[in-house]
Amino acid sequence: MAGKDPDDDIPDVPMSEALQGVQNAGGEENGNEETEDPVEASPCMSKGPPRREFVSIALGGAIVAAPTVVGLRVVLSPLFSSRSGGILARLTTLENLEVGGVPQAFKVIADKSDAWTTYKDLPLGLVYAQRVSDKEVVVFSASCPHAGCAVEYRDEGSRGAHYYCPCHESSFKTDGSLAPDNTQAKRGLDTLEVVEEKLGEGEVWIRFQKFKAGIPEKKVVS
Amino acid sequence: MKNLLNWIDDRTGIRRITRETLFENIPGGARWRYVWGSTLTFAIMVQFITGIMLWMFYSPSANSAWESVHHLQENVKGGDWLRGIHHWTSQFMIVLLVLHLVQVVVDGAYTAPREFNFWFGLALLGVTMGLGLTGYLLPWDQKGYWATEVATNIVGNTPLIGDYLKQLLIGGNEAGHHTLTRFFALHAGVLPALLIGLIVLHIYLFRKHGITPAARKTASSARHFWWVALFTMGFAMVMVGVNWNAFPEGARPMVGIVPGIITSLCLLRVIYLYVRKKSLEEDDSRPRPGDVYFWPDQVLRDAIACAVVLAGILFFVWQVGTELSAPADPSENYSAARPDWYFMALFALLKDFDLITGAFVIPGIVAAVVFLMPFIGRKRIGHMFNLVFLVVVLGGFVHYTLVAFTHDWTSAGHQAAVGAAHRDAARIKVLAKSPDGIPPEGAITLLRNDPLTQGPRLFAQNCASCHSYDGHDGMGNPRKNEQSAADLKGFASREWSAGVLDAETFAHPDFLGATKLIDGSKMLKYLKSDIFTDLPAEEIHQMAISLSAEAGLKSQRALDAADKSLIEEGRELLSIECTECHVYRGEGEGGIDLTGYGSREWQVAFVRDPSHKRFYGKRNDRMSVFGPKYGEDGELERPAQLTDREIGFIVDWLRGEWYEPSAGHESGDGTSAEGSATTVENQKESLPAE
Repeated sequence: MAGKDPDDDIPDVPMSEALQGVQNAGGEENGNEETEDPVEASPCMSKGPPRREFVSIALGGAIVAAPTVVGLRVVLSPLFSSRSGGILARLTTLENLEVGGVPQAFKVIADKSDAWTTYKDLPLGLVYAQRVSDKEVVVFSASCPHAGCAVEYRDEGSRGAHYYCPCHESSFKTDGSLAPDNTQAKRGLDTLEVVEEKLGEGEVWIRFQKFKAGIPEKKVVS
Repeated sequence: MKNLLNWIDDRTGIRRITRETLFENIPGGARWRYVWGSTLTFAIMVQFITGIMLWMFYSPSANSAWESVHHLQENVKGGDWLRGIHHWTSQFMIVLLVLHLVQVVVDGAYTAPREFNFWFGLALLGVTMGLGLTGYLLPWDQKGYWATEVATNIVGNTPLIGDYLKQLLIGGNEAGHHTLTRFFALHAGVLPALLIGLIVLHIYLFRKHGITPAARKTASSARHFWWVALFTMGFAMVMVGVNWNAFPEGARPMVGIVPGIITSLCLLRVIYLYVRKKSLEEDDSRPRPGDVYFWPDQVLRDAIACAVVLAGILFFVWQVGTELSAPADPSENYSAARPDWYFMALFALLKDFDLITGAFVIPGIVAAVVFLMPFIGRKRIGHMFNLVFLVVVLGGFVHYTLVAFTHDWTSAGHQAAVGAAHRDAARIKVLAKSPDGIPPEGAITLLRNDPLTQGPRLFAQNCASCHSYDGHDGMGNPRKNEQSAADLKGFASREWSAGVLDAETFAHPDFLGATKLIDGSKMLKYLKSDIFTDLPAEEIHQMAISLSAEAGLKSQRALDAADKSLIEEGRELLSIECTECHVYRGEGEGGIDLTGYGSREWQVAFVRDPSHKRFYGKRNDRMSVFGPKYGEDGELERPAQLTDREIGFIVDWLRGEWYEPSAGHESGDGTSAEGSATTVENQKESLPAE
């Protein structure tokens, strides 16, 4: 009923016919103090020409609709919120990452606004960074592409190095792609953009974003 | 008095309402099997009352939700009980709802004209699960945050409308303030309003149609109920048997005995019903006794049942309590993330099935069949189908729940994660009670500023590729690389200093033995030389304790104070013996600076730049310059790898400098030193052993 005039669907004539019965029933009990429903028995609802009925219904619809529409617009506001396009955050220096070394976990720390609060240096999430070659750093979001738990980097004797999600046991190779024993995740770990120019300056900066979980495609959520 | 009642009654008709409420006709007399509805009404009332009381203490925002719940639970007398009752009643409600549903299906109480009432009941089950899901997040702790992260991601996968639904549910693109305000509005406003509406309709229709007529309530109906109970319990027992080895040792007696007793009782009941089959059926066909009213017979039974439920709730509040894990932190991977127990079966489904199948198709089919049960159950064969279906669904529920729990119990990784979660939860409680308390930014900053929490993490990440701490990486995990630098547990303690002044330990891999520094070490040469070995053991001891006293360790404060004179003498010895190669208290030149050796300032400066001439200088092996690196011209070559704050966490942790509540006696003598020594010890022991 939101945003739509309810009386559009209701033809006038059947309505007055429908009310006819009520009018009669009410009429019989008129004057009785113990009338069960005085509104139904009230003469102004049902008597009079169709125009008055129409106006009553239109007015009734309008006074319900107006606050509802305003309220719904507010409640639905998240649907219209824009995506931030990611937050730039510094992880570490290039030197701190060993070429070909094991992936390092980093907290993504940056300034961020959440509704009415603007935080300074807020830890936003967790990423794994690995320096694959002298000038190339790969950064994975730790958020599991299956359902959003935080994946762990594990290096176990028999299984070897891999990423593992402790919730539904998705697993990924060290290059982020789906491992052979993965059953749940539909895509590999999400790579995050590493800022090239900063890399040139010896610093590892990333664009921190979140992606929709559960689907094979990498779709930006925020 | 009577006049007053008359006056009220004239205007309200209260007598009629009371009469109708209490003197509802119960054909066939009061029975225990009618109590489920009343226990549920009771549970819901408890939830409304405790819920409103909790509301008075709760503040829904990302930096006050956890804090307000923590305050209620820890600082308000009886607050833990209030929260506990609300929490455990919700658990009981789920169980009671399922029992109620089973009872209704077995009795065939869903057939015409009661279809709508059955559906209202199903809707009530749905609303209750919604209340459980939304309530789980409200404390904004790690447990609730990560479970909700998964739950809302599943919502986001709803076909067609998922993305919008998720945005509306969490109030934006990411979890934050508005997720809490929305979940709270749902939990305390929308869903309870729905619940009241549905209950009113449910009870209204129940009263309108009356208790299911006697024809259905034959002896065979009772048999059906106990068969369903027996099959489900039997299945559960088989599952327990299959997974027996997975149960924790201590839980086995309970796990074996409790379902065993229930199953045996079900079996006895079924046998009894068959032995007495004939007489019970005769009983059924006899004319019914006259009207029996709800009051007092049935009310008494209902009251007893409610008292039993309440006792159960209180038992769990008392024995198990209600967990509050560390405040939500999206940057802290919380590997112990799990939903509430009644969602564990669904959780396990998601390991075996695709997200859409496990979260939508299977639950959807089950819900659809249950929804259609009134139509399916019109014929006797349909009714039997419903019973079998119910047993299969309940059995599946038990199966997957057990699969999920046994997996967790046997998984060393999960147990370690649970251990870490409990450590953080316990630590944050200690910090929240410190004199500084919880700052306006929220309790999360306490853990982020706590050396005991951050030190080991930073150590594991930045130091453990070469160093170790008591043989592990700081977090209790075995070290990954071969040891190539010192084990830093107890750095600069008396034991450490004694080790430095001993040729054998000095060259041990736990000290410098694994580094290049040991090659041609002048120090080692000195330790082996006659000059040193000829020194009396007592003097070496004095040198060791006075070197250690330079650090001013918290754990040795009392010892240092007690040995004041020995340390004074030891300092003299250090000046004589060491200043040829070291700087000490203004004397000597080169080598590692022994002034303030191991003090906070010394250690921070060391980590910032170990190749500074105050420390290793050019002889530095592989230790990184963690502070900013400057070129020879003094220009910044590279910014710091670790901030001074981060280095401070590591150093404070290594030095045992973190907040500990005083144990009541601030005597400053040997006992307090002993006290902090044991806390260090505890910390070490509580780390997961792998």
